[in-house]
Amino acid sequence: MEAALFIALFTAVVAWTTAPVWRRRSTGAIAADLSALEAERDARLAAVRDAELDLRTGKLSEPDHRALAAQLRAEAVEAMDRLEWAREERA
Amino acid sequence: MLLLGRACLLLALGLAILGAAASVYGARSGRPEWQAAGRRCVYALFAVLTVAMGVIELAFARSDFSFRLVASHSSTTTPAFYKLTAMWSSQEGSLLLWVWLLAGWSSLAVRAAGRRARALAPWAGAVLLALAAFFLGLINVLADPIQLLEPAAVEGNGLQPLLRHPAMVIHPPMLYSGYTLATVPLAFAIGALVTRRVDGAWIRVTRRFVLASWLCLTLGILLGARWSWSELGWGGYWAWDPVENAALLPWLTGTAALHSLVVQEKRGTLKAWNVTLALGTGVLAVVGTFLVRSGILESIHAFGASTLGLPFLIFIVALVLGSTALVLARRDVLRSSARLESLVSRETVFVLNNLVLVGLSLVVLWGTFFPLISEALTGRRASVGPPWFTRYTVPLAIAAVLLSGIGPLLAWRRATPRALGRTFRMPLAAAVVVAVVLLAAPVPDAPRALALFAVAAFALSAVAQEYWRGTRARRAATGLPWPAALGGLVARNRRRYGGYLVHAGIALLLVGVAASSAFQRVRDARLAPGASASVGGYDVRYVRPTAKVEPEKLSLGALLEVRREGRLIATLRPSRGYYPVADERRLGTLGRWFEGESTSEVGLLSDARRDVWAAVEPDLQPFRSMIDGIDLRFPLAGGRMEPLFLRALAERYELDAPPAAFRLIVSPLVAWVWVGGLVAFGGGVLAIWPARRRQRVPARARAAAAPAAAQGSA
Repeated sequence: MEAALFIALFTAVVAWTTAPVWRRRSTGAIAADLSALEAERDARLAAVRDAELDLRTGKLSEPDHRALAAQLRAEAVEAMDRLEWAREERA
Repeated sequence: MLLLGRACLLLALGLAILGAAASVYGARSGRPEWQAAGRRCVYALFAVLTVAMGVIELAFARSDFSFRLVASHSSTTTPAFYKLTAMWSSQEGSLLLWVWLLAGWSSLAVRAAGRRARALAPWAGAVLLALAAFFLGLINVLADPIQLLEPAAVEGNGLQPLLRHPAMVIHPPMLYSGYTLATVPLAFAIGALVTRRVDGAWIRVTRRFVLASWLCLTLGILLGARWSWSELGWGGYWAWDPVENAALLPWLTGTAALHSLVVQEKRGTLKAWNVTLALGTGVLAVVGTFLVRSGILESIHAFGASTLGLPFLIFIVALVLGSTALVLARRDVLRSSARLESLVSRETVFVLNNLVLVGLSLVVLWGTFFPLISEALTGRRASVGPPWFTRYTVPLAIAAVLLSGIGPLLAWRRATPRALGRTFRMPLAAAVVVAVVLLAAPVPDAPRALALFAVAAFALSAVAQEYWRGTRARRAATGLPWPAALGGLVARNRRRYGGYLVHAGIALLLVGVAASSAFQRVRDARLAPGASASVGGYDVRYVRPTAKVEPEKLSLGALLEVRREGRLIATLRPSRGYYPVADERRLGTLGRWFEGESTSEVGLLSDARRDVWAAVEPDLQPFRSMIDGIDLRFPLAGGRMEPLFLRALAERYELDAPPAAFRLIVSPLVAWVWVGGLVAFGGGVLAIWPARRRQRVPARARAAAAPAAAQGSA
């Protein structure tokens, strides 16, 4: 009984883990890796939100925030441009 | 079921080795089908180890003493609850728990990376599988949890008495989860270095794992401290024991990493520092596991001497050398393009906080390994005690609390003097008021504790101010009532406000530690029934002895009345539990109850102001003749006679108890250690809680809407 259980488990594990190799089918790892650019875009957008929160909680003055927000938005747009170019290139 | 369990452990080792090889081959050759096979090996490893765990748990539940592990760590009288957790009270069983947790977290990490950092995933998977292979090698060769005992024992030895405590059920899985979760960032850092992708992608995947590791270690350390305070009977919750320190080390570097990863995420700096911290935290997690199992340092928490030390040491040295070589080889990509814009900014405080936390971990590391260092240098093993640790850690802890208050008050990138005046005013005032009040009050001279109270007041009021200002801003922007504005603020900025709550919790915890360490009063007294002793302004009277016979233990204790200025405020019942050893033939029917382990049940009065703590050590010498007499006249009486003898002994103790030794402690603000720890844990849960998925908006539209979105977030 125990031996039969193990043989069933062993067969299932070997068949399932090696299936991608026998089928030679990609299981979703085709796309180019854009994760770094996505991470950068998200970080830049979050920085714009953080600056706004810093203004509202008194850590930044209006003039300081204006200057900083302009810089942060420019960085965010640049990050999004890079991501879009990479996507177009991939397409 | 023994055969199935053994076969599963071997299959798991095979899966780990082949999975690691498939992942590396897939990554190097760029063949996704091999990468997928490697990934599936991670999932299959978890499934196979779950079957092996199930086999052992089933054996414990059924008290199947043909399993050596069950016979040595459980018995038919062990409560069912403890039977299921007895597995990790053994070296072998806890190693299996370790690798099972590693496989579980690895499955989650590999799955998360498949979506967010596809290029790193096969390398990280290979590292995690290699780690699992090392532990499974130890399990299969040196510490097999599934061994046959022939002939099967009739009765088991039972669970070690000290571990029969609810905290001990959750404490090991929490610590092991903390350790194993800490290896995920290590694996992804190695993946990032190998693939030269040291940008934000690996951080996006591992950030949650760093926080999850921190949460588990926090809870594990807290539960261990609570167990020590209420169960060990020595009168403390932290002894700077090597195994305690082993959990603190990755907690400290993990805390540093939580801050520095944010700096890289937001500013693109500290790349080299972050991979080093991730690697260091992972290595310290393995070092912690090594300390518990190798027996190289003396600890009441360790498993004792074993043959696991050398393979562990070789593995750790290989891990450290390999990681260092990889960091050095990738120093070109680790240079950050961005620089800190101002010395007065949140990121600067994060860097300083990192230096303090890493300094703290170096102090703890040095003190922990000092016995080995001194032995290597002088040939004589010397160790450093709590005074050495507190001399160096207290100033650093004060600096850490101060920085945890300053950080939230500063903006990212730069802060202006005017803004500083506005945000620092209230926290500074709170610190000054607390300092003045404490200096004026008749508080014993303890400058470092008083300094900590002042900086804690600064940090707590800084956090309160942040919550207040954020809620006010959100209320102004949305018109919501105060509670809804607060809820909305926190829900939309979980990481930020969860983090602030962690700062408040740590400040509270350290206030409890400082007060209970500096102002604790201890009295050791030998009291006869009816006698009293005073400690820290409290009178404790030994009213009468108590005795209780339970299926697994004999408890002898005392009923104590605690009075303050004549008013009865509590009744405490400390006791000592005596557990029998199995060797009735050699030690006698009654004698065997006093030759095994005994545990202390502490009598505790706990409230927000102070804990009154009492432990008792009954004097059994006058009963020696009675015990020896019964054992001599009724050798191997066992069975139905044993409870009768025990009850007779208990009644005799209650009637005519000799003076007992008591340790009485009055310790102020100890409850705040647990409250602060729970607040910090709650803050961590808040920070890790997934944000609600927002509707996908085209990136351009999001950029244009960013200011409006920020308004909503405030």
